[in-house]
Amino acid sequence: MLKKILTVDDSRTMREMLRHCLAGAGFEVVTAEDGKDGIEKLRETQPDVVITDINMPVMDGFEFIENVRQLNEYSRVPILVLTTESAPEKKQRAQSAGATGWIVKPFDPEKLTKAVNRVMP
Amino acid sequence: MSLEDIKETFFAECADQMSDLETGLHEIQSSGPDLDTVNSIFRAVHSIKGGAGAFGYNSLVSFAHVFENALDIIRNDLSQVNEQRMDLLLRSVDVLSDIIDTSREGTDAADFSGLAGELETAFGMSPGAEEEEEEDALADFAPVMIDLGAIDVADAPAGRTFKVGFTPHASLYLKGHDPVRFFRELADIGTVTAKCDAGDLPSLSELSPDESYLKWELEVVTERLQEEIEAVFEWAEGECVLSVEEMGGPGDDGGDGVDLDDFLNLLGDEPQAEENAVVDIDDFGQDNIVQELGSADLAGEQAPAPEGDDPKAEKREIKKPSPTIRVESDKVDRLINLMGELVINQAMLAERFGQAGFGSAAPTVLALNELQNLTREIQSSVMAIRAQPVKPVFMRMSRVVREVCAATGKKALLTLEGESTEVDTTVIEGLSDPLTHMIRNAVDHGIEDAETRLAAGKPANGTVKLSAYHSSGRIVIEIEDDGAGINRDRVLQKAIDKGIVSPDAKMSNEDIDNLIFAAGFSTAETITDVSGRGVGMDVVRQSIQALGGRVNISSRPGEGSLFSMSLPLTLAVLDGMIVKEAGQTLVLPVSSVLETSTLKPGDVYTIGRNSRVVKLRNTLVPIIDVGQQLGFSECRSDYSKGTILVVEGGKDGLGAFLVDSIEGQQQVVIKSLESNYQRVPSIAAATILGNGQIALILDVDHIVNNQSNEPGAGLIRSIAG
Repeated sequence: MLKKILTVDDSRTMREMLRHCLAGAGFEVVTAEDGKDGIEKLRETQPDVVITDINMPVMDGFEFIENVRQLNEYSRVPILVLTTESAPEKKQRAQSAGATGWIVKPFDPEKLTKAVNRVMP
Repeated sequence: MSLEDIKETFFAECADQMSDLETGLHEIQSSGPDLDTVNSIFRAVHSIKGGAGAFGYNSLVSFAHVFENALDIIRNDLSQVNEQRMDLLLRSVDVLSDIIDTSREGTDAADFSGLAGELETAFGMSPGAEEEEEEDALADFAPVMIDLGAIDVADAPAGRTFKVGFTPHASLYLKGHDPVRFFRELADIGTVTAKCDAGDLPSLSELSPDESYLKWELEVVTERLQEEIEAVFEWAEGECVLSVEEMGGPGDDGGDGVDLDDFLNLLGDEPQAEENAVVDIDDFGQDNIVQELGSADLAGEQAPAPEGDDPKAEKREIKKPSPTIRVESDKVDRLINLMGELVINQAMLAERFGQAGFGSAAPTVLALNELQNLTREIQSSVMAIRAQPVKPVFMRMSRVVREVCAATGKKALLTLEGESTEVDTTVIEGLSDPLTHMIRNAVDHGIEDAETRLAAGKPANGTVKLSAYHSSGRIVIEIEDDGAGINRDRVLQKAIDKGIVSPDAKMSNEDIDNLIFAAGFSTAETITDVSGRGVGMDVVRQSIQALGGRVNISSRPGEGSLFSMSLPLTLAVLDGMIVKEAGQTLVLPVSSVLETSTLKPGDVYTIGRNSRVVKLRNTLVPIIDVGQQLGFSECRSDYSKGTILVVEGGKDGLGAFLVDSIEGQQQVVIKSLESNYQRVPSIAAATILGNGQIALILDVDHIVNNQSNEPGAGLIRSIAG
């Protein structure tokens, strides 16, 4: 069975980009448009790894991660944060919200799959 | 989906984000900054930057970066907004939009360093510090990323030996980490021997699944640098105690260690530990107890709550808009087309039922009525799919105002009202150009310069109000400025100079105001030339008429002018006036018909050889014999009979269409001739009437403009016949 990845990003371009890269690397990809949508999709699809953007409307990445970590059945799912914001405090904040790791945009498919494989159960 | 497709998506999304950006800045300008708005514009620029980075549009990235930083300052402190900064941000929107265009076309972006520098100065961002921070960030990140690429070379030959001590905190597990993944990663850069210290492990009854009891000591034999080993644990920073030291040489220890392969196999044999939270300690030897507490699925009550419950979560939920889907417009067009067929078919059915002699209360007719209601409802629902708020077009106008202000040195602000009013997309597309020119004119000719305004007791900043509302099945768009109003003396003088009116003409104020719409009043002839100012209002009026609309002006000297346009809500259906002429059934848009009347012998005057005019109240209107014009019939012998429809259209304004009779008024579905046959002069489109008959819809503008031209008579006859 294909490993499943949930990507959460409000930008259509990014969602398609992620899908393109990850599907090409042999993953099954589910997309969500913001944190709230992400929580719903998480329950529906039970992904192996989650990749999320930080800056999103409705529910941002930090809040999304915090919420996921509070859900019993998914509290331990690896979550990678996708960010252009390279400021260290952003990473720290993501980490303290419960992120497993981060990927800095722009990314190439290789970099992305490497990062995913690093945390893939 | 290919990368090219994604690129298309990116530019489509850029367009959306640019409009969000305009909207947001406009909101801040009119009602002051609030955090939600600032966040949303920040996100827009941020997303553009992110996508641009993915495709390597470097100019776009670097300008978006500066722009984003400026917005970040506002985001962190709303009181940082001031007029000068707002002005810069608005200009940045224009520049950003230009860079997006050039990126898309693959041409060189204009130099934006000037504005970028202004932004940096105005927002107190020091470019140097910024770069430094970037470098820091890079130094911070680069190792991981570079390593990821370089790690490929597995099984490095024996080199230096590092001793790695790894003691995870409980928090490491809570973040979805699993020690084994770090070890696996290490195994990619060298030979790893691992030893687990389970000395702190309590008895099973005391064991808390949320605690971390295990420590590892690893030996890594590798040729890589110490930093690379540390980089493997980057994501565990702060979640563990990590020590990395170099030891004397390879293989001087490790006798009681566990080979990583064995270690991994061991884990492989026990994958269910993750699910069960049952740790079977007995399966492991005393010295090498390995437990997979990391991702054990733990009883939920114990899941630690992250610090600070965010009350915003509740509040934001309410704001979620209803979900939307994106559909290719072709699909919607097809649906609308089919809907048109259905309406026609339904009308035909009704007519047949009538002919068959069913009584109006017959069950069959009642069922048909039901169908009719449903059809109508479906029709309006289908039309609603393609309806869009006028907002995007309205938002574009703020740029127009800024540009004209910059070019003329005037100060004016655009205020919007009713921008969520919806109208069919086809109408919106046609609206942009005439609106642009009217707004341009309003600022250029309407608003006075600051000194004149102050002298007249008005605020220095002029206001142009753009508003939209629905009124009796049409959309009305108004452009109101608080400028000087139309200078009637000057307009009249100019019209006389250009020979549009005779010097001794008696004209009401309204007539004079309307002179600006007269052909030849302004010199420029084409509306496509957006960059050139002073495009004639006659061209503007013509393009509004082409949309089935009308434009009016009212002006008060010293107080301003109001241009009001009334447009149909859709271009797919039309309220048609059905007329008979020379045995043909023809349709005229009701919107262009001003009045109808029956010809009386005394009203018709012959001018020259073939031209006739009709006297209506005190105006003479040229008679256009529709049948002759289209080649259906020869010249009429008797002009004392027939019905005239006074229409408004074309450059010259009025025409009296002469037809045999008026049949009635009916909503008709427009069928393009161009896409099904070819373009026919004087004919706008065709339709199918309720009785199944095909009728041509007249292009009123064209007929009024070309009344003396010889039409392609045979052509029309062959289609209509």
